[in-house]
Amino acid sequence: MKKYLAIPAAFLFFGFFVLAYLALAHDWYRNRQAPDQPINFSHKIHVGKVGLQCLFCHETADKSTYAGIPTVEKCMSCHLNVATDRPEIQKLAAYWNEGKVMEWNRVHRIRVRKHVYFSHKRHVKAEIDCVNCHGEVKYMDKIRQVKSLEMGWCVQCHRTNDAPTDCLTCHM
Amino acid sequence: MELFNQFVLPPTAAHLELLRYLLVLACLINFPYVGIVIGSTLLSLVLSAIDRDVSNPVCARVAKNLVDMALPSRITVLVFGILPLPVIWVIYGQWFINSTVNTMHLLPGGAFLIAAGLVVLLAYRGGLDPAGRNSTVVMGTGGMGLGLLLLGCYVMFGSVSRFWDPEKWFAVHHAARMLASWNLIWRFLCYMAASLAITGGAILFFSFSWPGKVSEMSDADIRLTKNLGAGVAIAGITGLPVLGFLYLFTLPIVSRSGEIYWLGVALLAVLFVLFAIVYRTIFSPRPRFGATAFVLFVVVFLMMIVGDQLTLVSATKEHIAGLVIESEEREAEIDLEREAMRAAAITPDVVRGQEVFNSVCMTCHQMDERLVGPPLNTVLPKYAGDMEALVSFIQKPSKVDPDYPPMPAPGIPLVDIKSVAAYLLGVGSGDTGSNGTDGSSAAQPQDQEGNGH
Repeated sequence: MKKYLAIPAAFLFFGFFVLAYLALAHDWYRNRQAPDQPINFSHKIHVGKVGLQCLFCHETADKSTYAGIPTVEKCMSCHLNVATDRPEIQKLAAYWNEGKVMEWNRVHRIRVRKHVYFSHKRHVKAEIDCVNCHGEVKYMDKIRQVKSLEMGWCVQCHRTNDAPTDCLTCHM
Repeated sequence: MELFNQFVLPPTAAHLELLRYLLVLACLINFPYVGIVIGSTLLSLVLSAIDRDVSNPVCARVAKNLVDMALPSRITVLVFGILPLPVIWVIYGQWFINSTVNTMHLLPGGAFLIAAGLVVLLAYRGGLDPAGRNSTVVMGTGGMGLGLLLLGCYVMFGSVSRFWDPEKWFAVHHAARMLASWNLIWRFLCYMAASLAITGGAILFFSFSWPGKVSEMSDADIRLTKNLGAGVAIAGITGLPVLGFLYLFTLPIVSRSGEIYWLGVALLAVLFVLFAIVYRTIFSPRPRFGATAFVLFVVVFLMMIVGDQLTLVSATKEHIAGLVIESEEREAEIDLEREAMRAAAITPDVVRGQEVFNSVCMTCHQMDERLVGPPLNTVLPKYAGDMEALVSFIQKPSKVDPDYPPMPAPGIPLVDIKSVAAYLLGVGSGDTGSNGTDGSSAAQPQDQEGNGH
């Protein structure tokens, strides 16, 4: 009798792991993969090809805790004239003409954000290259998170750069 | 790494694609075979140890059969076990050209340990007596060979594991640190579980489906071989889902993609089918274990190797994009040089220059008005009489005035750039009031061009 139970038991065993793998997949699709954006903005073109500096668009990265996202107005300062025939630029122009705000989706997340204080300004002033946290955006068509942004990773970098590792540096 | 980079050109996108398939092929030849050798040697040592303790001739015979199955000849060891290793090394070397990861020194080290382990195990096979009661020297040789093989596999996996986790590249200064990672440990154990599974499959296949084998075995031999093969295969098959979950759970975010999870689910389906096939053989007095079932074990390895490639491609997307751009730039430079040689003999055409200016440049530049770029009448005077400098700037623009965004390279042929420069110097540096496209404006740049070359 026991020998006939093994196959259903194995079915349950493998079925359990199918569910576990699907749970990981769900977490990936829901929380971790690079989100779609209102327009397909390409860092590869703007940083890699045109050569724009990060601060040209993310104007407050050296002045505030937040790096800042460029306004539609900022984009249109070039795109009133440049590449106006491209479909994505026409979408941008529609936002501009209708006076709407571009609702970008957040890409970089600190998972337990409530307990963490992070300042872009401090890191830019310390001459930490943006690439260290955001990856080689000049090669990204669709921006994605490439670093875990977890505590161990932050602490490792702080140690490497002789930055403070006191708890209160990041946790308030 | 630097030494390697000196000898390798930046690979093109097509080259990298080809390398990926070659890598899968080389791994598919090597990994299942090395897995069978590891599993068979381990079981052989255990059976030999039992025989030494309680004198069991069946154990001694099966131990010898296992090693003969895994290491049938030197040619087999060379083709499946050793030759793919330098291929794998060279492919990874190409893939990770220009990266600062200090791991390519470790990879040949791991490959050397694997090759040394296989050679020592050949000596173990030669010394193993099917009559039993093998000496400590023989057992020690087997243990050393297995140890070298396992260490070599771990070092080889570890040497490339940082490619899966580039966020730690900057912090890797010591080889030992590279080998200490949970994700690496789970990945290694996944392959060990798959090795046990395929060893069980190989025992069943080569013992019961290989022509003439069963007739040489006694009933006791058949019973032990069958239970050993099925037991080991089931241990590997049921261990793999657990270790696979831990591997996926600890996978760095940069290595993840949707496909890897779906591949994992497909792998579970294959493992369930294998479980059912292997389990059936336990209750069969004269088991049959077809080639299809054995091939399914190889498919398990194939899926794991493809999974490795999926995670690797995801983790190194930007690195690969950089390599492709570098190779395209190199090709463009060569094209540019060829074109320069051709263009040297061509006189710039001012009328053509105006056409190109109107279609390409006017989007951002006007003569006396600021658009995206500065008004040209403020910048052209500094190029008056120096067409070479203007051509050079248009070819490879650099940021001059912080008030304006940097100008991108226009991506037009050198002949057109020269024509635009000739047109602009005629318009901007001369009498801008009258000589837009008339004969005098054309004459001036042509004269300059003539003087310049």
